[in-house]
Amino acid sequence: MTLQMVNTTNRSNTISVAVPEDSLQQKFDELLARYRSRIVLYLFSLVQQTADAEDLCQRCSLIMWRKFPEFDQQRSFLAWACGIARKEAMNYRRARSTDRLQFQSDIAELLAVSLESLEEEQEKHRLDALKQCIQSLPETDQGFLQRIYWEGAAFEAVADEWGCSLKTFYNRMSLLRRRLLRCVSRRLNLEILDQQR
Amino acid sequence: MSPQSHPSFSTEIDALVEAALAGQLSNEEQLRLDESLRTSPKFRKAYLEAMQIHLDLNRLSEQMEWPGKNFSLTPSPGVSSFWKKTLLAIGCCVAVALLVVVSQRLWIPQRQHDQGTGALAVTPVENTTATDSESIIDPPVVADRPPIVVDAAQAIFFGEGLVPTSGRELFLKKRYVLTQGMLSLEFVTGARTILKAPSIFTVVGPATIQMHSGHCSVHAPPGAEGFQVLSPTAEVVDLGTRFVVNVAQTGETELQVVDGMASLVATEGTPRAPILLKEGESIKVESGITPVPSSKSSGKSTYLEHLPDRVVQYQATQSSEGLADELLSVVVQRGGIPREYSRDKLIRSRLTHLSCVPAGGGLCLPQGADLPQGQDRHALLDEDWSLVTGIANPRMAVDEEAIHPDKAVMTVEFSSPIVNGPGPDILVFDLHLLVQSPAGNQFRVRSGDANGPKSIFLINQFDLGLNSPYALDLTPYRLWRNATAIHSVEDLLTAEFVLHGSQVHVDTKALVVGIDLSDLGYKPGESLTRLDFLSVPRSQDVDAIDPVLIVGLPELPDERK
Repeated sequence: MTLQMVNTTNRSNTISVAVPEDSLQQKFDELLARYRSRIVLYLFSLVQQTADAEDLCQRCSLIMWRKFPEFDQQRSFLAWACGIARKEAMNYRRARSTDRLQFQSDIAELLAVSLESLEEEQEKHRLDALKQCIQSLPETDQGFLQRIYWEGAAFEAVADEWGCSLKTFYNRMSLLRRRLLRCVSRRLNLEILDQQR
Repeated sequence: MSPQSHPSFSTEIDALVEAALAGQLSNEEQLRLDESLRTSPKFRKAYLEAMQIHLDLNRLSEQMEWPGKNFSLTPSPGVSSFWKKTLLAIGCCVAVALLVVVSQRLWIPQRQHDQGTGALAVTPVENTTATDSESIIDPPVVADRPPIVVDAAQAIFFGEGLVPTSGRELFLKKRYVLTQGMLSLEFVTGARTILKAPSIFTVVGPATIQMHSGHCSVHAPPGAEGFQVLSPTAEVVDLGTRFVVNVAQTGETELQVVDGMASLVATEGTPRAPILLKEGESIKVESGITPVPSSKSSGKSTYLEHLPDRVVQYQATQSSEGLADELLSVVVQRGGIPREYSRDKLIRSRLTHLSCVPAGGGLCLPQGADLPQGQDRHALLDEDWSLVTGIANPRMAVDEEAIHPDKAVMTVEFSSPIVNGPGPDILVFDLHLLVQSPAGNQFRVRSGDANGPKSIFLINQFDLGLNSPYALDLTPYRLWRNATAIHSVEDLLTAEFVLHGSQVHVDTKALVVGIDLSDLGYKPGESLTRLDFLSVPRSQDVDAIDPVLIVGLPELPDERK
């Protein structure tokens, strides 16, 4: 067994203590599993590309593991992870020659704060609820989701098929997304109620 | 109101978020989105939530086949087997939940001053007796979130700047006065209520509503049992499924249980034990009278399953200023089910008769458009989808109106028969000035078929009136007035018209009303081909309508199969 030096904090000082690497790995794995989907969400909110957000999350995971021994475990893991993710996203966008806009670091920091205020729900529960919510949607809205997310159609193509302007379709999708959000939230609340009984 | 709290601003940012998700955000749009994210915590949260749903949909699509039905994007008006199965499943769940509830110990919220008195003032319902200390079900333990409006039909709150619209949250502890229309609320537990004007109510908590007066229908599906309705004289607790509470302005309370069970405690006078009511039973709590449950034969239930059938909303093309121009689709609730019709599914009508007094009526045209000639004038009402082209003020001369008050001022003929189905069968879109009546201009209709019924029906309230957020603002129009009297379509095609007033834009909206052929005397399944429009006598001091589109809805398939 190897030992790692980990920072931990008492009332006045930060001291280094030796902890077994296996338990460190276990702790890191637990935290990453708990917060991974939120880290991906954060990265996605910065780069707006799903595949890029997933790739960046992989890269961030390695960096986080390397830096984990320095992580003060009394701090928020999510906030710490978002700090690393923010830098990686910034590097990524700088490296993209097609990116014509400057990375807004202040917004990225604000988004990290807002991320902490979102309800924390297990991904599996969220997806189960989402599946049920999709089934309760009107036919047209189901059709939109099927075309875009299951068949990979572009928003513009679906707007054309529906015979409306892209702007009108954006508004419609926004309402649909809010409806799903409310439905998922309500179903998760009911789950909590069931567990409490 | 700050610019950022204005609804149109919010809509614009929502569209930018969708554009970001579609990968179609321009640099300029990205900067606008960034600015909103920088300045508003609310938008940051909404932005992250939209991203979360997008990612979850992506993940779900990777993990499983499409979980819904395979629908064509061209909507089908019929009830799908999916819905039938869903309704069947809900029915089964309700039945199972009811069995579970009955088998559990009972709970009724017992107030402090009731303790120790114990005597039963009424005979509890057979086999469902509860003692003071027993409980049926705990009220739901939920976050202290207010209910949201899921549907509204011509609903107006007294003293509120805005009409209640879908998705809007109500405030907890606030007293609302519903002066007009109906409102459907969904509580965080999943319980739904329908409130009908005139009603005064306060949302006390996430599973409790206080009815000061008025009508409240409650549907508490499995998981939402324990929903409470408080009145000045009673406390009603839902034990699963459906009931209705009517509260008179003097406080008398009537409870009718439509399905499942509910309990009631009278809160005035001698302390009472809870009374349990089963399906079909009702009870009245009146001052000085011992409340006794009565059976289902005592009266017709006033329970509302859903809001009335009506036009729910429509979509139209938008100008660069965001003003509506051509109809794209319309959502109409028929038989309790909202159904969306793209415009190619609608049945067109053609003008066959028209009366307009000299300089009193005319044609509506887009601002800047030339006056069409001859048969092209037909197209304004009959052939295009524009919501700013049509007929203005069809009306007879005063003396003629006095002699023939029920003579048609306008008649249209549909390209195929309109079959009387559930809810609206014909839609009339009307160009309406913002300075006119909020309910829309009154008019009367009657069958124009030689063998059709001759009942005359007065339309005095549009489904989407001026106050509705779903009545869209229109692109600028101009009124061309007829120089001579028009007594027929031939006159319309040849008459001289003069541009009325200057080219100044007057704010207008397109209002819509659905006409149910049953109101004209048609039986279900019977059909109409011609529809007469009759004006409302001038003595009633109402403006005439400006119809810009008159269409029929396709027949619904037989849903009993």
